[in-house]
Amino acid sequence: MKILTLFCGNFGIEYNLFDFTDKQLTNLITGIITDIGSRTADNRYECKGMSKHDIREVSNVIAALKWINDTLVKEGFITTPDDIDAVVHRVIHGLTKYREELVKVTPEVIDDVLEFADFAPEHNPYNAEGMKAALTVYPHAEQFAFFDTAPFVDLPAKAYMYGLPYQFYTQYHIRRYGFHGISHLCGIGEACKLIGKSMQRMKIISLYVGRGVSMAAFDKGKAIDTSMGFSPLEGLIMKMRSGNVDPQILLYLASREGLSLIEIGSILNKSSGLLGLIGTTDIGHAYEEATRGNEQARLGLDTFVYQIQKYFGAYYVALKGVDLLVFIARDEDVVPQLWIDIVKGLEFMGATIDETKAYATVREEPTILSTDKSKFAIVYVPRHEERCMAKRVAELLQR
Amino acid sequence: MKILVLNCGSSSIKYRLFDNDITIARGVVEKIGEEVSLFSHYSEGVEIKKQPIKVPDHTRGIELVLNTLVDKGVIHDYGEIDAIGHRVVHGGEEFKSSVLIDDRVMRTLYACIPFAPLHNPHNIKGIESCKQILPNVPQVAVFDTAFHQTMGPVAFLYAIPYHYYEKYGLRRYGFHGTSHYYVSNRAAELMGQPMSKLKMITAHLGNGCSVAAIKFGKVVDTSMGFTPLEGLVMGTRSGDIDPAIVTFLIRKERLSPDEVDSILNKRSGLLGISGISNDMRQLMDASNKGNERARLAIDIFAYRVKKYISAYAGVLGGVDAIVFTAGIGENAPLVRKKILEGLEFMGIQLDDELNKCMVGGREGIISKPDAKVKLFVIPTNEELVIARETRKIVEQLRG
Repeated sequence: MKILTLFCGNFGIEYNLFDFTDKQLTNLITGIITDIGSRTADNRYECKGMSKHDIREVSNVIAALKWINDTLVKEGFITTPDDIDAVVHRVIHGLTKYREELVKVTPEVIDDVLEFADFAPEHNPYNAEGMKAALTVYPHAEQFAFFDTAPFVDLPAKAYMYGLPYQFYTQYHIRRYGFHGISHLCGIGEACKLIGKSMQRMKIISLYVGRGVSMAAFDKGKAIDTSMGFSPLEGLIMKMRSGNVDPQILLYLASREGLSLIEIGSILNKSSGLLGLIGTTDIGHAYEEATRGNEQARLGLDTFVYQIQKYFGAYYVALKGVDLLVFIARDEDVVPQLWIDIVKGLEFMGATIDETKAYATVREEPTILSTDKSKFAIVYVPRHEERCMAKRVAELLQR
Repeated sequence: MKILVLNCGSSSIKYRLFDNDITIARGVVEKIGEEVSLFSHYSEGVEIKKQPIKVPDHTRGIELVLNTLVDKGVIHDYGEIDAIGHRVVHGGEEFKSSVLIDDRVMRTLYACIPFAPLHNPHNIKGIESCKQILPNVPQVAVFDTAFHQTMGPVAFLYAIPYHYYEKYGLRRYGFHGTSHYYVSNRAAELMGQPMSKLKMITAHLGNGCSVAAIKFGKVVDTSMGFTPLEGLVMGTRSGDIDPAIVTFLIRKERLSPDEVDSILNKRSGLLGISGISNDMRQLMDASNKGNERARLAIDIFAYRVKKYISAYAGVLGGVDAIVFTAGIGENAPLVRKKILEGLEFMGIQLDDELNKCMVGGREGIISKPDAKVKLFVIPTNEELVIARETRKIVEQLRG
């Protein structure tokens, strides 16, 4: 069985092809197409242990999907589009309508995703377009969507409501939605498997580090709170996003700098976070700089870590204790020193990390990082939401 | 030594005359500049309650106060006042402690206006008026922000481009400092231990609300930020929200920055969620009668305080005492209970009986006798702190 996963956004399209045979899931190719709508769209992919790169004129999402299909054919994974059994889309925003993370794509789903565009302008319109295009390019494949917000729809009201006039909730649906839901769910699922315990019996806090950074608290497998809010801007300090700020700062900057609030929104989303504080989005690089005596880098990292510790404390109490802390990251975001620094602030809660094990972590291998003495388990799992989505779909289709 | 303590707002002057630590007169001039102003005064054998009177400006208001003090025999003449202590809301990074007001200080106070445009100008008006009326009496400024100036950059920096900190001083300042200072010191006194050995969390829950983490006498973090808008859900202020909500509202409702400012500061918080009132007593009544939104407002309020307390417990690496103060903190046992519910595993044990009777300005302990974490209700007394600070500075001045 061949399963293609797609994640469409204003950044481009991420794609992965999986083969599922004899209950074994194998990643055949992973790639990203950027600069869609230009003459020099870019296709970077890895397969058979090689990194490859291609440039082509790509006018729209359908053309981009056709290019992906051409690539799959060229590399010999398929011969026709009909060889693809299922296409799986990662969709960012399902409001409160989509409570199940996995749904079959229907015209109604596409309409809804488009209708929710205001809530995730950088993703939902592209998600919708991706689903439409996939129906054209892969008319015979099963089509599924995974909703990033789904695991957080049923947060308790006290966790999802803001201290705002109530009509903003009823009229504009302003509430905490939370994001990275699939990444958190997959991450904690894998971590539970690693330590051999059931998710249904555990209190879990997970930290996801990618382009965005978020934390979530799960009680018996159900999310009870998460750091991202109405949009992915809220919460922890991220690569380029500010996370929490005094909301008055937006108004202050508007009047002092003569900026429109849209421009300020863009500052908070694109030139803040670690980039704004340190001047880099690369956490490993920031650590190297800090070690070399770069004070700004040290300060930025300390602030980043401090915010994570504060959320941990808050969730520890919301859960009334914790059994498992999961670090979810991939590639350059696997920075053992970051985990060590975070756990240092949690020592009075009984956490201890094995620094040697942390430093020996292999990027693609789930690893137990806590010592035997630690009151709760600390685990690293690689970020693999595509694999996790593909697996869920494969198992569903086999039934 | 007789010290007059003044708190000048946009249309009001609150005053209290101290003879050392004893209050010998107090009162308030309200609705200054309106058609009819109101004057209240209390001193030995005298009670003036909301007397209608015409007070066009702050100078006339202060004259009214001084004349009343003489007329009612509290003092013989103006010369008896040794010093005046002013509450000033924002001292920026310049003022890390209380200060004798001279021309240089005045210039700096003016420079701090953009930080607190709603408060500082009126604080300054009060100082200018006193200089006119009592040119030879020393005046001292006591800042709401000063006690929080011990915070480190990790706690006070936002993850926005660093140059905004350098250019505009955009950082966390924190407020209610005088109140946090008073109640934390008082709690240490009640515990019979020096501040230098205690880890404390103080919760000032009035119409404005803030929490502070105090380690060995120094504030290490606090919930209000650049302005008093950030942090907890308050009477009419939103506290923390996703900053993207500000830009979303502007797009959706076509609001101006001023309108958003007014929504977040005046129509949000308990009032906004409940749609009934910013007054916790009314909300509790309504909630008891089955009003769902009133109940929700209380739940959200308490959950937010709980999250901050737990985050700070983590930051402090454990906590010896938690102190509640101000309107809600002093008078709402039910809210205190909700906040502390579920924290037993941290060593917190609320004594329900003590909690219930600690209202109406009573001071005392509300934790069970053998609980690890001491819980206190301590009525705040910012004026006393201002009087003491002023006295200290004047004594130094006199050598």
